[in-house]
Amino acid sequence: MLIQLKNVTKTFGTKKNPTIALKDIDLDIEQGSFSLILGRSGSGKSTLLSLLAGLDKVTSGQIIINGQDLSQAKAGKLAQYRSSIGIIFQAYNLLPNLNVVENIQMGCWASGKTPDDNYVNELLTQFGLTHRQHANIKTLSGGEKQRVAIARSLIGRPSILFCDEPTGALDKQNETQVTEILQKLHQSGLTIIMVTHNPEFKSIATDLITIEDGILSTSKPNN
Amino acid sequence: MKLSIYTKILSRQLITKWGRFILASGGIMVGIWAIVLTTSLSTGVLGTITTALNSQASAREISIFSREDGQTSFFNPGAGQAPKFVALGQDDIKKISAKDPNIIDIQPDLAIANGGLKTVLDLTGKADRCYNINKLSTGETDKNAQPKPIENPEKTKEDLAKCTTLTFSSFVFESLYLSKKDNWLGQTTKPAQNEIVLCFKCDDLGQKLGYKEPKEMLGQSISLDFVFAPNLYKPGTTYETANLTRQNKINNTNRTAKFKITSVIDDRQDSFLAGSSSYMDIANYYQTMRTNNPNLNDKDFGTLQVTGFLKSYDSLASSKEILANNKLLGFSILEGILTGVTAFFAGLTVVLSGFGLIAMIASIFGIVNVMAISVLERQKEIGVLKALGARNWDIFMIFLFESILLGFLGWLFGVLLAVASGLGIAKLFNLYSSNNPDWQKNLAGLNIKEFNPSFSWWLLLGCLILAVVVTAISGLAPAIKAARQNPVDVLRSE
Ligand SMILES: Nc1ncnc2c1ncn2[C@@H]1O[C@H](COP(=O)(O)OP(=O)(O)OP(=O)(O)O)[C@@H](O)[C@H]1O
Ligand SMILES: [Mg+2]
Repeated sequence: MLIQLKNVTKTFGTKKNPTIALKDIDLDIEQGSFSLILGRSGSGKSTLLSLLAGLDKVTSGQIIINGQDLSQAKAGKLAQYRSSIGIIFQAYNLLPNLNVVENIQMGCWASGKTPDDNYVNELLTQFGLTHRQHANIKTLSGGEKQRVAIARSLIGRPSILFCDEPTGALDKQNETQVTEILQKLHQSGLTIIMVTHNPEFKSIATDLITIEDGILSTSKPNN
Repeated sequence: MKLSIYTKILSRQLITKWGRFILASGGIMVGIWAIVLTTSLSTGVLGTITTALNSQASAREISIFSREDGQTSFFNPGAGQAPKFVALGQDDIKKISAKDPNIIDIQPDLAIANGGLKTVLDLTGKADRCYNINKLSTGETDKNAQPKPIENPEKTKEDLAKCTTLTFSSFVFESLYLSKKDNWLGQTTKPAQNEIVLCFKCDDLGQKLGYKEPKEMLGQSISLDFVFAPNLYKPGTTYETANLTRQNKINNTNRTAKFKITSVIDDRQDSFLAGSSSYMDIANYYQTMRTNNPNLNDKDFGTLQVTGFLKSYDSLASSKEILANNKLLGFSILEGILTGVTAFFAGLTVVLSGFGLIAMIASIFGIVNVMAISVLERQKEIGVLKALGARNWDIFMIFLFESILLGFLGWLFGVLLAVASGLGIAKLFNLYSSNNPDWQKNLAGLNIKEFNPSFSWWLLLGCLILAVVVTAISGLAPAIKAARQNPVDVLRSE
């Protein structure tokens, strides 16, 4: 099993007056799966994703990824884990002081690695960004920004790709484009875990994870 | 993260937020400006004064005595009594110059004119060095030299008033040459035993001999009568300075000697303070004494004071130490003055630099503030970098570098400002000085026409270290705060 959650609870706020975001969750995610995390706004989807991506720590319970317990990991180990995965945000989160190609390269630079130039060019071509590679981030369209963000998440050749509503801010046309990219990535063997409100993804997903009032249930898409 | 990535992030930050960087580094700039300006000006002024004093030959003269009690200070710690001195011989003089390579010229001083003690001055009042001018000859046509030599010289002040004396001061040759070399005519090396260096205006020599131009005297010959013999001190014998006049007078009658004038000092423009003097080899003295006292030999010619001339004023301390190790007393009249001047400028620099330091300390608060704002503004960026695998250390370094950059910029602008204003001030001074010849006279003949601020590498490097350390300390807390920030906040869209 690639990812295993055991009795994971996450609360915010003070001990006396806690907001319980996730309660006693158990979850298994297989290598090569395309899992969607579904649920109403405020149900705890982003919270779950941030725990899986090593951006936050559990209040109690265990997250075991590739046999390694994230809940026990020190800051250095967590950083190392984050450098081994890819992550895409709804708000793109590109660095405005760097241009397109530098933003992509930052996917390696941040963890002290040297990006593979051929792979950078390959991604630029694949995502139709070659002619804009030296452009200022502020001048890009939403779809272009998200493609840069996807390229950045892929440049370090991640083992898992986490996405938090990657098409949430995109129009129909760009949404379709991003969906196709992600589908291809999954077909090439990448494990993808995605938070989304978009029902279209159900057609390409392998697993559905639904959160309701902090409680989690899993199912298979009916296709 | 690699260093190149830190610098990439930093340089982009600088490009987008340059206005803030300049404003935030203002405090450091003012501090560095004050420190560099005051230090460079005072070291420049001090350097100019030291150079001026150095070229002022007397600063480099060291008077050497041997005290009977072996003490190496001129002043008697006991009471107002003058110390007893042991006469030094020719061998001692040779030994001193062999031991100290910084003493580049040395000669016995027969009159102890530099001692500063009342008894010694009384003694010189008897003018042991009175020479009567006999005549000046060209070799072919003798000029009738004025006035005539006195017939039967007596050692009284009344008689001395009648004789025309040539002043042979206690200058050693190197010292005299150095202080007069701009107005030096003829041979520039030390005159041989039958040669002489004459000054033109001093003792009204040129005028009395009827010359209009100093160069007319060059190459001619002058006959001098040695009227008085100096006291003769037996090397190794102790003398009380209070009783010097009663000791060891030797028999002397007039003896005329002829000298070739190899050099003339054109001292017509000299100020009162920059007195000039003629010079001849001391061996001429011994020569005349030997003529009249055939039993004397070189070893008998002792002296109570030896004057050495230093390679540079800076070697005074080391020379004094070498002398002290040999139980000799070294004394420089200008040492006290220069020590005082140095201390004054050092004090001034410390006080003024202190204001600069205060400005820098005050700027710490500004930098902490600016860095805290920067951390707040870039929370998202910190989160993204961490989500991409950056370590806490990387985030810490990014912000530490940013605050150090503030220090570097403050230093850079501060130094530029200090160089510009320092050169400006010097230019103003030099302009004032060149338009006011009186000003130069006011400086006691030191002949300071201009000065330049001195920006030494250690000053600039020291200030850079100071600026970087101050800003690094200021940036520490914000950088730690940034490093500890939780990356989860990036997931929130706003
Ligand atoms: N840092 C925090 N402090 C306090 N409460 C938080 C924090 N982060 C999340 N929460 C709360 O936890 C719950 C789950 O939040 P989460 O962001 O995971 O929801 P979500 O499912 O992603 O919602 P959406 O679809 O709107 O993005 C919410 O009630 C939210 O208010
Ligand atoms: Mg969310």
